[in-house]
Amino acid sequence: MSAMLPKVDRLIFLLFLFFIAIPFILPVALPLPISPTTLKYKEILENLRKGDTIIWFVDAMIGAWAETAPGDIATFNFILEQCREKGVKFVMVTTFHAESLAYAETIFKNYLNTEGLTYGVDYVYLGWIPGYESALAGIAGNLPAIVKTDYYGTPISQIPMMQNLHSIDDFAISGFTSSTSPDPYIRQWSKKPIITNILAANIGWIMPYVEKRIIVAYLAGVRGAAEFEYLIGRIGSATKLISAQSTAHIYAVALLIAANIYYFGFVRRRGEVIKK
Amino acid sequence: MIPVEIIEATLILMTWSLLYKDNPLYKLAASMTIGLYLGVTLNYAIDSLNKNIYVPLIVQGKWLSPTTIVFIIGLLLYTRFIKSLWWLSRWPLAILSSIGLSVAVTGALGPQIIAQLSTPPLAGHPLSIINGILGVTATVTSMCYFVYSREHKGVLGALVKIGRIFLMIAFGFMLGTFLMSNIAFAIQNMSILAVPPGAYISAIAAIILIIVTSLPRVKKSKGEEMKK
Amino acid sequence: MSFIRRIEIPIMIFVIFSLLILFNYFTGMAYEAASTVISWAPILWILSYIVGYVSMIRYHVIIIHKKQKDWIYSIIVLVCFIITFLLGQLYKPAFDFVFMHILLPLQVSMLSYVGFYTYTVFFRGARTRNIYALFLLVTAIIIMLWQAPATSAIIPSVVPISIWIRDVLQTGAIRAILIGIGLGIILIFIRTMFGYERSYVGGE
Repeated sequence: MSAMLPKVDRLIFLLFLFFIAIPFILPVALPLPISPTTLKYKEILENLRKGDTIIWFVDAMIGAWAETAPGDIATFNFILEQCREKGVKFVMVTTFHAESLAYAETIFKNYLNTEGLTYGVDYVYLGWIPGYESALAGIAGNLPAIVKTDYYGTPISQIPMMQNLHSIDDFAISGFTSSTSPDPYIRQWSKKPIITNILAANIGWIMPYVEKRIIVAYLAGVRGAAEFEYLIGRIGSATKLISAQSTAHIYAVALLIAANIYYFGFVRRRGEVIKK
Repeated sequence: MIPVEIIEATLILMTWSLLYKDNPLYKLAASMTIGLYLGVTLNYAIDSLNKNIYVPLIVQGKWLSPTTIVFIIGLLLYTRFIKSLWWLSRWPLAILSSIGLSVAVTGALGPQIIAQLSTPPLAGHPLSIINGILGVTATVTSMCYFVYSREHKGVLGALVKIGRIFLMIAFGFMLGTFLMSNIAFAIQNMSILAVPPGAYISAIAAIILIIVTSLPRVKKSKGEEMKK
Repeated sequence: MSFIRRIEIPIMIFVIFSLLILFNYFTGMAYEAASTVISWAPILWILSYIVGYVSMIRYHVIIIHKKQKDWIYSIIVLVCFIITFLLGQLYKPAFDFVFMHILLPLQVSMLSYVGFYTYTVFFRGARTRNIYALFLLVTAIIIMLWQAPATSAIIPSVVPISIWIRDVLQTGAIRAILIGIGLGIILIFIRTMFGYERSYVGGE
C-alpha cells in the first residue's frame, strides 16, 4: 500500500464521514417505512404457541455486531416475551466460531430481559458446539449425542426443558444469525420453517429459499432491526443508527452519478481527443 | 475514571489514521486487534476443550469411552509440527473433512438442488405468469453462462448474453445491499465519535490532522522565501 | 512403515466415514453409528482450531527471533494475546471489559474500511463502460434508494420496482448460482471419494 492515499480518495472519505456524522450531531427523525418482510417476521414469532420450542443458532462474528446485534437483541427479547406470556421454550446455541460465542455470550449476559423466567425451564443457552455444519447436522439428527452440557457446564440430562428435545422434529421452528453463508442452515434444518436475522448483503442470497418457503421470514440488517424495534416498541441501537444509513446511501447514489458524469464529461471526451 | 467512550474513540481514530497515511498508530491498533482477538478466542477454545474433553475424561473419569479415542486421533493433528511424523496429521483431517463434506452433500440434495429445480406455477394472474417465465429464463440463461465445456457461440452464445444481463442485475442488487452492510461498521463507530465525550477526542484528532496537513505547506513556502 | 505413510490411508478413512454417513442418510439403518461419528466433529474441530494458535505464535516468535521488519509489532501481538488470555482465565470482569470496550471498537473500525473503500470503488470503478455495466449500475442505484429508509419514503415508486427486481430477476439468477454450488459440492465429494481431490490432506 502506498504511504499516502490520493487526494480524491481522502476527499471521498471526508465527505463520507461528514454525511454519517450529520444525523448524530443534528438528530432528525427521518421517515422509516415498515417493510412487509419485517411484519411477517414479527407475525411468525407472535404465532408461536404454548409448548413450541424455537432454537436459534447465534453464529455471527464480533465484527458484524453493528449490523446483526440490534436485530438479535430485539428478537431474543421478543421471544422471551412469548416465553413469559405463552409458555414458548427458547434454545440458544452457537456452532460457528469462538468469536461467535463471544458475540452470543455478550448478548446472553448483558442484553436479555429474563425477568419472570426460569433458566432451564423456559430458556437455555447451550454455549458453543464447535463444528459449524457438522454441529448443525448433529443437533438436527441426534441432539443428546452431540450436546453434552449447556453453557454453564450443566449436563443436559439435568436440564428440565432439554428432556424432550432429541432432534429437529422436536422443534417448531429454527432461527439463525449469520454473518457468512446462510446455506449450511438451510441444508441441515430445511425440514422445519426457518427464520433469520442476516446481513443486508445476504438478502439476495436467501431469496431463492424465501421463494420456496424454506426461509419463512427474515430481518435484513440494521434497517430490518430498526423496523422490528419500532414494531415491538423497544427502541434500541438500530433506531439510533438508521438515519445515518439514509444519509450515507444518498451520498453513495450521488457519488455514483457524479462518477459517471465525470467519466462521460471529461475522461471519455479527453480519450476521444487523444485518439483523433 | 476515564469514560469508556474516550478509550473507544481513541482506538477508532488510531485505526482510521490509515485513511490519511500509513503510520505507527495504525500498526499498533492492527497488532492489538490481532493479539486481543487471539487471546479472546483462545479463552473460549480452552473452555470448550475443558467441557468436551477434560470434564468427561478427567473429572468424570470416563476413560473407556469413544471420547478418549477421538481425543487421541485429534492429538495426531499436532504431529504436523514434527517433521518425521507430519503424515499422521492427515488422518484426523480426513475424518473431519469426511464428516463435513458428507453432511453438506446429503443436505444440499433437497433444498439446494431439487427444491430449486421445481418451477413456479405458471398460472393465475397474467403478470405472475410473465414473472414466472422471466424467473425461469433468468435461471436457465444464467446457468448457460457457467457452461465452459462449449464455446459461447450460436444459440448458446445468445443465451449466455441474456444470462449475463440477469447476472449483472443480480450483482447490481447485491452491490446495492452490500452498501448497507459495509457502512454499518463506520456508522457504529461514528455513533461514538460524533457525540460527547467521544467527540472531544475527534476534535483533538481534527486539530492534529489540520496541523499535520498544513506543515508541509508552511515548510514549502518558507523554503521558497529562502530561495528568493 | 512406508505403507501407513501413504496418502491412500487418509483417503480410505475419508471414504469409510463418508459411506457410513451416506448409508444412514439413504437407509436410516446406521443412525447410532452415524450420530456417534458426527458427534466427534466438535472435539476434532476444537483440537484443529488450537493448531491455528500454535502456528500463529510460532510465526510471531520467528519474526521476533530473527528481528525481521516491524518485529516490534509482533511483540505487541504476543503481549496483547498473553494478557487477554490470562485475564480470561483469572479475572473475568477485566476480560469482559477488554472484549466490549477495546476489541469490539478495534475490530469494528478495522472492518469499517470496507465501507470507506466501497465509496472509492463507486467513484473509480462504477462507470458505465458497456451495456452490462449499465444494468448493474441502474439496479444498484434503485436498490440503494430502496434500502435507505428516507429515500424509499420520499420516492415510493422505488419500492415496487426493487421488490420486483429482488423477487423475479435477481432470484432467478442467484438460483442458478445456488444450484451450481450444490452440484459443485457433490462433484467435489465424488472427486474426493475417488481420490482425485487431495488438497484437504495437503496433497501428495
